[in-house]
Amino acid sequence: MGRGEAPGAQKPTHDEVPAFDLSEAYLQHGRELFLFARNAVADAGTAEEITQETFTKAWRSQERFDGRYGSVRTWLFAIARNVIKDAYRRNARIPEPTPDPADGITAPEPSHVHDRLELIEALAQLSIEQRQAVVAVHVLGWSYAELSESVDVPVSTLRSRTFHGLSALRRLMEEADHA
Amino acid sequence: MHSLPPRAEELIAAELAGDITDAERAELEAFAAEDHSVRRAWDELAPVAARLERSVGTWDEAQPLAHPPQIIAEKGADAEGPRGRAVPAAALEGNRARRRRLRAWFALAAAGSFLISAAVTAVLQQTTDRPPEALREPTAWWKK
Repeated sequence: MGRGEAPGAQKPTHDEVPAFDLSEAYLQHGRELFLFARNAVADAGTAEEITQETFTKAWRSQERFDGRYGSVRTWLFAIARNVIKDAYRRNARIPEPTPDPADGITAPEPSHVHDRLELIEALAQLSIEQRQAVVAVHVLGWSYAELSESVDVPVSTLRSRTFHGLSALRRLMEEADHA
Repeated sequence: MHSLPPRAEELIAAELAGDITDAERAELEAFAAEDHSVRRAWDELAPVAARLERSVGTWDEAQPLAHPPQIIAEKGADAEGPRGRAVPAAALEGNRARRRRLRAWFALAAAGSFLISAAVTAVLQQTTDRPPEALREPTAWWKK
């Protein structure tokens, strides 16, 4: 199954409401958030800025975080999603050369952007092994045999990882929809 | 999702990727005939696989940040009190207010120093404009 919540991010009882700890949050979720940003935008520099902005916003609005209603991870990803959408909007305001219809390049539909962001966000939260299998097979189009040869892992294991990775993706996207 | 036999999970993953032999497909169909959960799992995961293939396009397994974000470097130490708990943002506001007060004191001190300096200069100027003491007595020059 997908990666579980960090111990400190488990849903607390009514009496123990965890405070937001910036350094701990970065240690637990910094890499996932950077991976999300990196695959949502074109370059690593912008992704770093998005990660920085996400933690800055979390720091500023930490009083609004209530551990009884959701995990730190869910909260940070919700902030990151908004920061990335803001970056998209800023970028959209910068005039770009009009694409030549002959190139077959068209601006992505807003619904497509939303769909992609949701998937990338969920992918970033998978375990490395599950993500490797899911991405290789369903994003890059490798066969299980090719992947098995490349990473020296049996095909049956890779199929199992893919199954559980897809299940985790589905669950994470449902959680994000309800957050 | 209902727990499935590991072999059924593998076969579903193979079928979703379109990377399955005829014999394996027949095996999967046999599983599905026995257990409705197999069909349900397929129905739940097929849209996820299709969305991945349609929307993601590429993936960069980026390395972690070489350095933590600046906010961690700047606030990380301040953020953790002696018990490792985050201090409220008001504490940082307090630091800013202290810096503002310090700047105001410096400005006031600079203005005061300028005024004192101007006053001393004026007094000295007045003193040097006067004739020496010896010339004032017995008949002050302005009485002439």
